[in-house]
Amino acid sequence: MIRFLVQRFLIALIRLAVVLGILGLVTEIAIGLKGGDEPMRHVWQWFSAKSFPPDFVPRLMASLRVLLICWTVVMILGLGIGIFRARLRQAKSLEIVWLPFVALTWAPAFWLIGLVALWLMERWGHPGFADGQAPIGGAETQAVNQWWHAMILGIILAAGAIGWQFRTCTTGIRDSAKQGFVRASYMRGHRRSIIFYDHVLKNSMDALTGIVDRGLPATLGMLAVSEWAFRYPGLGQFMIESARNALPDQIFIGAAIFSTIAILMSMIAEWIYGGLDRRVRTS
Amino acid sequence: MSSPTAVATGPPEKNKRRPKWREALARIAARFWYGRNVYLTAIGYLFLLIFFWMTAAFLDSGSATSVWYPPGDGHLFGINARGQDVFHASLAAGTKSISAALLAAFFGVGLSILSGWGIALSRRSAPSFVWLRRISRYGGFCPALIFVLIISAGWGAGFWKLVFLFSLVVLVFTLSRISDWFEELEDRGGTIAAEILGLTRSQTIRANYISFVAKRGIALACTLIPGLILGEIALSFVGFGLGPTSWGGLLAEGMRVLFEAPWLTIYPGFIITATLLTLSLLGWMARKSMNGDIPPRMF
Repeated sequence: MIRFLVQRFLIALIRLAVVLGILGLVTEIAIGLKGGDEPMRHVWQWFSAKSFPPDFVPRLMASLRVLLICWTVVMILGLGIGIFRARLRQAKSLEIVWLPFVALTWAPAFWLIGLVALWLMERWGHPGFADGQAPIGGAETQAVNQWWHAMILGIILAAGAIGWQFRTCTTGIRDSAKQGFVRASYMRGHRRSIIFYDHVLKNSMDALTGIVDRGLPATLGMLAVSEWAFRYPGLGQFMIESARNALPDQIFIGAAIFSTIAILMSMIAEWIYGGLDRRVRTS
Repeated sequence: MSSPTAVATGPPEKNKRRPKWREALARIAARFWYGRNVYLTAIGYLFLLIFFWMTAAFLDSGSATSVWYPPGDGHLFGINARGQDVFHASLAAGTKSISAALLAAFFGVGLSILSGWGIALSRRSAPSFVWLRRISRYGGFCPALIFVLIISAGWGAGFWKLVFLFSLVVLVFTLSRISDWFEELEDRGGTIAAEILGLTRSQTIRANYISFVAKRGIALACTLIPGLILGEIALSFVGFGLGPTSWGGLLAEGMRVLFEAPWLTIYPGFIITATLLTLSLLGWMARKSMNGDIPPRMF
């Protein structure tokens, strides 16, 4: 087991090195394309503590707060709906129940933020953006306000991501349910629920653990734009502001952090997969 | 008592062949029937594209009054600051976004197929191409939108720049999958038979692989289109992408006056969501019909 964990950790390190290399190359190309006399910070100059912006840590924490809320909701609902939908795969009329989630997948998150801001304005008389006053508490309850804004942003992002995740989950489980041993079990007269929960689910661990990391990079990209739309002081807003000021070098560090999060989550998913399925860790 | 079997009394029927035109018609009908899903999907795409392009062609340029009007008689979705009906302006803006995504998806997948072909050609002599596929796989860990944002920050915005950048993103994200398709075909009977017959590597790939990969490639490009449009909208929303007359630009314009003129944000958003959902369903149909059992002669 330890060997498996260490092996996946080392692979994650290699992935991180490759991704940082690609990002660095892309950043240097962007700096080259921009040209001009304005001094730019090269990629290698980022590896000193002085290079980081002063509010880097609070911004990172703010973004992580949103991501924590968003991904917890996505994992719970994505997994729950995915398993439930796969279990009821023969009831075709139930597909209409999941349609709102599929529609929300294609609604731009920053547009939903606008709708929520309008609703908050109507309900409480406050614009509802993160740079304004939160409707609960005042300046003295800053911590509560931070979580309130993070919750709004996190749930809006989760609404878009759930549709992807539960479809991936259901597809994986349905593929497993098509295997020969499932038919053989039916023929032998085993109960459908026992076949599904005891055998099909155990054989679709790839799809189930994929909930942890698949779709995360797309959500991270949308997080950056949504933070900017919601005027939320996170790392994403910093990256968008840098891009608008034509400073590609400033985006590099935010992109590197986002990629590291995606790689870490992927490593955790692989650990869980290996932990739950002996065949994976011993192969 | 009469005999149990009826006796034919008329002249015996001739065993003659059906006319050629009837056979040709039957062949055409059969071909249409077998490919009905493909044709229906293609008609769906054509209808959607013609609808958007026609709307853009007949869009009233309006009068720059800098005053917007709420929804009312004659303009159910209101009027924007350029004096245009919001519904028409939203459809016209969609034309740009859809065109860019369509071009990027097909260019990107085309480049991926060509690269996959190259890798498949040299697989026997140079297995070192594996590193290219690994890089492609690892590239998926970085948000694609951030990649494009970094380059746009240095290079600026524009239609062809965006198409180029999105094509590269599609190339990076699909190369690994398309190489897997080529690999999948390695052990098939057709490939082994071609090798035994002494065909060259290039001839084997042309004879066995291209039809299969092209079908899947078209389906893959169709499924990528809605995601690329969403990416373009996000970029245009933050000031890059296709400018103020694209979907993202309209949403950004609406967000600036969100509380004064909410219809400028609400209605374009609904139109975007409905269009992307339709394109997503069409993409799903395309994937289903292309991977299904359709006659190879159609391609």
